[in-house]
Amino acid sequence: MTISESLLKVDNIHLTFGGLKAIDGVSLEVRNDELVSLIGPNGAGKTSTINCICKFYDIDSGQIFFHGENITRLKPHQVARRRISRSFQNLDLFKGMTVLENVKLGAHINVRSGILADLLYYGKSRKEEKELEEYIVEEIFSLFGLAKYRNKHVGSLPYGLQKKIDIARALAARPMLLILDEPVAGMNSDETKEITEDIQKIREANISILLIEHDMDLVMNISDRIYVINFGENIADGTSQEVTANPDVIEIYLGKSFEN
Amino acid sequence: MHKNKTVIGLGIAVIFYLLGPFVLSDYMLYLVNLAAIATIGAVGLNILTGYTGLIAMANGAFIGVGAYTAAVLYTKLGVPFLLTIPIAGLMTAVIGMIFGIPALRLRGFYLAMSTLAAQILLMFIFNNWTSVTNGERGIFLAPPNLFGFSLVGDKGFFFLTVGIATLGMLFSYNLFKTDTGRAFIAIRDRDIAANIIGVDIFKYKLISFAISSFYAGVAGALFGFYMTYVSPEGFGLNVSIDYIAMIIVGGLGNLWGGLLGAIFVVILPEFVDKGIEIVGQFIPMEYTFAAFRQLVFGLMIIVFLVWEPKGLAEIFRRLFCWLKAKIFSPKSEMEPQV
Repeated sequence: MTISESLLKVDNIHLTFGGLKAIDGVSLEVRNDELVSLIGPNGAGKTSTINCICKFYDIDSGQIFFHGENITRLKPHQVARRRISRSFQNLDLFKGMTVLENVKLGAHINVRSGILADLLYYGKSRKEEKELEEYIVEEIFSLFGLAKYRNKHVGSLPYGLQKKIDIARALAARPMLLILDEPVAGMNSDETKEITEDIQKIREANISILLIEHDMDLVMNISDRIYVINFGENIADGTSQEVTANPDVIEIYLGKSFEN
Repeated sequence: MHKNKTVIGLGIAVIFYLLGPFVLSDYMLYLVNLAAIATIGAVGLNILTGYTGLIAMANGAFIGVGAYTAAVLYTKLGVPFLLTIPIAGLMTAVIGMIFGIPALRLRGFYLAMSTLAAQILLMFIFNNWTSVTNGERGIFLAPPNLFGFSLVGDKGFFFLTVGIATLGMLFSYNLFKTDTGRAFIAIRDRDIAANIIGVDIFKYKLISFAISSFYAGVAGALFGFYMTYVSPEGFGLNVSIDYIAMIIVGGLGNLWGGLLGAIFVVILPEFVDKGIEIVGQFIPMEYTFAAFRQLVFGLMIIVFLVWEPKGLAEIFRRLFCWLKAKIFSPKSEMEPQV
């Protein structure tokens, strides 16, 4: 494995809240075009880990590299500009905006027109706005089947749909790495199936994915590699076969039913 | 059909704009001018408070900064009248950004307190920097010339104030059709999510302060020229509160909210005045008008916050839907919320 293959490299990060060790030396790597899952029991530090990657939390020690660049000390909006997008576990949509506006803001890092152009809605601003709308409607809404909701306010829509909008918004930035935090949590089996298909379509667009999920069928089916963490520490990693065969992982997380 | 309506609406607006000064009485024109100036300030404050979610108690003082900037440039430095208005806007934008810096860390109540400090500080400067502001005596402004015509009185100002207010609303409308405006709303709704999406929160909060203060500065410059007099009295805390009342009563985060709120707040004292006159015939009124006005204001804010937090804009929207349903298609449903 050469360094150039590595897209995201999290190297031995530590994070404490007061005296509590939330992350105690987690390392992981996502390579180009890979779908990597991060699993573990509740409170293991999964969401904390991605919050560290997005720089929502400042880590105490360790380093994070993206495309060979050290992004450990960047600010959240600077990390986004490196083309790392994420969806949120607890829907963080903008309630005052429509579906289309939410997804449009997802593409914020790609918008070039300035404030003056926006005030006048002239030239670059108008052109860019039209192109952005076209791109979202054709590429993203068609993928998620969101076209008919485009002018609805997000607050009025059902949970499953909001989850999709959240992923659509993350995708609008044209990310190189998409981080999905429990995309099918709280969804029924039909919705889960839909989202699984969506994730597969996203993979076909050559976007690397880091997935956090408790739905083990989903994780085992679509992951290239899996990292298991517990109490903020790496327990195991490997392919789904390797991980499901690991006695520690079965003991801590999967339970006996996976042992067959 | 939709296009036709827009054309008809525009036509009516243009006719009102061109004929207004010749049809309306001087008293009506006076109210329209005041409301137009207030609209500029309120639309600006709505960008900051209604759309970006940053409470600011210093709009009165920011309007003052604009008024003083224009007055000093015009009377002491001889800068042409029309040029003083955008310069006043820019100057106020800079001052607004400086006082917006605490917004990086502060929110809600704490931000309100820090902007209240800005209000008090700026008032102190208006009162005491006498070499520039003339202190309490204020600055008198000669009626300005516009393209060789002396711009005197209500008629002449009508074109200017209503024209600029219209432009101000148009710019605000554009802003929230595009990326900058969406970033503002995102900061208001979920600042953390906005940040992780790539919105530089600090930068956009400052931009919001700058744009909002620019509007305040332009409103201040117009106010000074219209009143032909600039003094600290016109920009006190009560003015800041008036503006907050405007956007709450009109509708927070609503383009029409600024306009409706401004009209309401400008006209309300006139109604209160008339009301006191009528009631005063039967009951001796011992309250002073000013105190009564504040009382009615406070009451209005409470009434709107409790019963219609979306303000007049929402009431009007429902009214329009209802009328449309009644007149055009009695069977059609009410339109979903826009």
